[in-house]
Amino acid sequence: MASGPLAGIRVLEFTQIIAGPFGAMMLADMGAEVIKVEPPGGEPWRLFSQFMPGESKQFQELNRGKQSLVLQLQDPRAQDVVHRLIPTIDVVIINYRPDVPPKLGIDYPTLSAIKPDLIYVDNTAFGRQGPMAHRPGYDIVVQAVSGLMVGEGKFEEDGSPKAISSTAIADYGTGLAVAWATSAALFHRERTGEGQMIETSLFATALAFQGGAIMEQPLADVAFRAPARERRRELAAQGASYREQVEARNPMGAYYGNIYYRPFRTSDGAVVIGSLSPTLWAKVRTALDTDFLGFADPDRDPNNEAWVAMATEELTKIEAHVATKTTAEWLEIFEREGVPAGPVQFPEDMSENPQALANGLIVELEHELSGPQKMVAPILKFSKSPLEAQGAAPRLGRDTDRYLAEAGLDASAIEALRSDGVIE
Amino acid sequence: MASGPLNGVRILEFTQIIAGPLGCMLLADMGADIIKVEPLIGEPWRLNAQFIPLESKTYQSLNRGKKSLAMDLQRPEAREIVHRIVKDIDVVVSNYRPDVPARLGIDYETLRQIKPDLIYLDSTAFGRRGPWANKGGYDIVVQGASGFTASGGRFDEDGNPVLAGAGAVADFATGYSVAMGVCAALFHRSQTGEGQLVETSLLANALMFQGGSVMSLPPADTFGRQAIVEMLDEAHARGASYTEMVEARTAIMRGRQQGNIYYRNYLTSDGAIAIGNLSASLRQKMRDALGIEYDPRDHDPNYDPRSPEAKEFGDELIAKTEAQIRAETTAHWVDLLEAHGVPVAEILFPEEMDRQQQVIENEYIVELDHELTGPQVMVAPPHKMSASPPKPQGASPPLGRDNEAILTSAGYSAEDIEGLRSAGVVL
Repeated sequence: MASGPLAGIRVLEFTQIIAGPFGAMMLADMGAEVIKVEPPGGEPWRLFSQFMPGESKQFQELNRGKQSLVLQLQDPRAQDVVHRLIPTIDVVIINYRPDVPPKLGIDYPTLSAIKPDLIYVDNTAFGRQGPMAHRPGYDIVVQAVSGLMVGEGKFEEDGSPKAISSTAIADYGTGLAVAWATSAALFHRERTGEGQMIETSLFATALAFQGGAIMEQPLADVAFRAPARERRRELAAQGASYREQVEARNPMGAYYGNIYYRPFRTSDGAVVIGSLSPTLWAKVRTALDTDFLGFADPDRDPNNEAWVAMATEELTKIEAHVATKTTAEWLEIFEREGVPAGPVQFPEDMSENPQALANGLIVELEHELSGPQKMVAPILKFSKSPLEAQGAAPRLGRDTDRYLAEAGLDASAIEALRSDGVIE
Repeated sequence: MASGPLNGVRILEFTQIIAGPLGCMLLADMGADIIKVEPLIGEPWRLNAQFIPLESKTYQSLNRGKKSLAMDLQRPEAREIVHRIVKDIDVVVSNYRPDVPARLGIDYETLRQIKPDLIYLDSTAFGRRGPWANKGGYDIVVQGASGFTASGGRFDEDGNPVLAGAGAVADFATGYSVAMGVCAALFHRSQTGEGQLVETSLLANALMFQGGSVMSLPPADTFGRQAIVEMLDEAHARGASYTEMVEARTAIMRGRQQGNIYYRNYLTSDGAIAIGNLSASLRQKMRDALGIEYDPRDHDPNYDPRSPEAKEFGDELIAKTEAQIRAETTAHWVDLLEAHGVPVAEILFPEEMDRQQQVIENEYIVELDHELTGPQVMVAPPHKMSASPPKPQGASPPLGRDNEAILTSAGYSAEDIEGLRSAGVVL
């Protein structure tokens, strides 16, 4: 029996790529038994950049500790297998487009008729209503539609927009939302006996992660958000390029004077400081040995050319000063002055990072086909019901026979389905 | 009574800025009763860019539906108040540095003596162990230290690194994790009667969101990640500049994606679009839409992305496709690609989201009224639940709004409260 808070809970997963698989993996880390249903051949993420047949790093990263059940869901016999398993299932996670589940007989009304207290988490790209409800949406598309990509404000040399490259932010965020909602619904079921349908979407998470940029608060917006929006709309009406519009939204002028919350180049790398209060700002000035008040200057006015010129000159001086010392030297200075600071590090170094290791954030697993691997450990530590990676990702169809037997199929029935290509 | 799955659950919040407040706001949306403890002058995020005294947009965007209890936790009387309140509390959420809660008498060990089945969620910047355990860590610091800033790969004109622009991703991810951890622990308690300590950190979440870049998987890494690790080892040893390392990393990453016309952004004649094809069948749909007959990636069984021919073909394919897409409008491409079943969309601005039909019809925004600052429109809870719908429980509270009600229910008389107030313990 797994040790996590969801030990004993059975999850049936119909998802692909990142968001759904990541959410279900969080549930597996919490001790749930996650049965991942894949089509013959495997889900698309298995097949993307395979390093050996049927295995990709992307897949192994997002499917650890699950069971793999291969079913050709277009076949009514496969749907029957699902319906036979459902009485033993607590949670279904699905991320098809809104019209697909009824066609496959795995929609909420059908499954909840078999198991009334079923929890059914339905994740779509854009939500089940609205003009985009049926559009396919992957992380990059949702980044674009939600404003995230504009917020990132990164361009190719020719002015075309770059996507957020550090992570598939809408996907990963939605994965957490899936696991969180499942936990909340299990708690609700425990208290009331009720199951329910939960809907979330990549789009909802993308909006939630931008909070203040989406939020309208007229009294606060007069200073910045409202005029920037006006300026940009005028530009758009005049046929300005995408880049011009983004730069009108993210004017560098407004950021002149940021010496408190930003990265700096050092002589051998880069360092960031993160100071968000007047007390910390004073410490930053001491550490940087400057009287320049930056954005804390009461006279700061991004529209005043003289102020901007002065700020630009001061910033250049400070940046040049920071570039004369090493990252280690600056970290020591910031530490001494009590300024929150850290080195800029590379993700590829993190699996050996002492801080990550000291906190048990890296776990070593063994994959049955591809051998040893190190990956990010469960992100929560529970003192009474500790989380644990329940093993590496399964090879395709590893657990098919076991679940079919559980669903009441005998060996000859299983063999017949296999030779018809319904299972693998 | 609130309608969400956590109605009736009482949470005492000792958090500031983004991660903890967001986590607790999400729990408030789910119906929990949140008492946010703030210092007498308000938490730092109230004071950041105030548009009226003690009210900022950053604060209001992360604290809707909570109660505010303003008190000076340095004072023993305040500690006593916490100890009285905690008897009726299900969950404590704290995001202090590891050494602070014990000093204030609000650590797990102390509070569980009073309430044995307490759930205590402790969120730190870097985890409670290791060389950085006691470092102050805000989102930007953790983004820098976890790999995010480097993989974002942004620079200003002078080569200074720039923070990824899309927001405080470590903070927002951790807020979601806080909500998830609390819900899972409540479920565990409902099954076993046990409370417990739950820990998470900005670092843990930042690493998890970078999954594959952090993960080491030797047989898959030979081409991409291993090359980056070797480049970094060599560059670190030589004392190479940060800019050089980021650019070298970007080049290696790009080298893996010869001829990627399928999952990227494009300029159109009047704007920009994003296209997201991640499977062979979707790539075929895109080729059909654009009239592209052949791509060795899908048509040549011996395709090797590392070969010079692959690079040459890929570069040409990209240049041709970029020119083709730039010749027509955004509307043209969205319609055409959409008709072929290609995932595509116009790139939009966050400030126009509240006007989008898609947002409105899915009820992804909600209008609230703040008692001091009036109407506001903000992002709705990210889930719809058929039996226990989450719903914002109101806008954020003015500082100390609920002091009297909370202290009264903890057994303090009007006289006691006045005494605490005049002694400067509570607001």
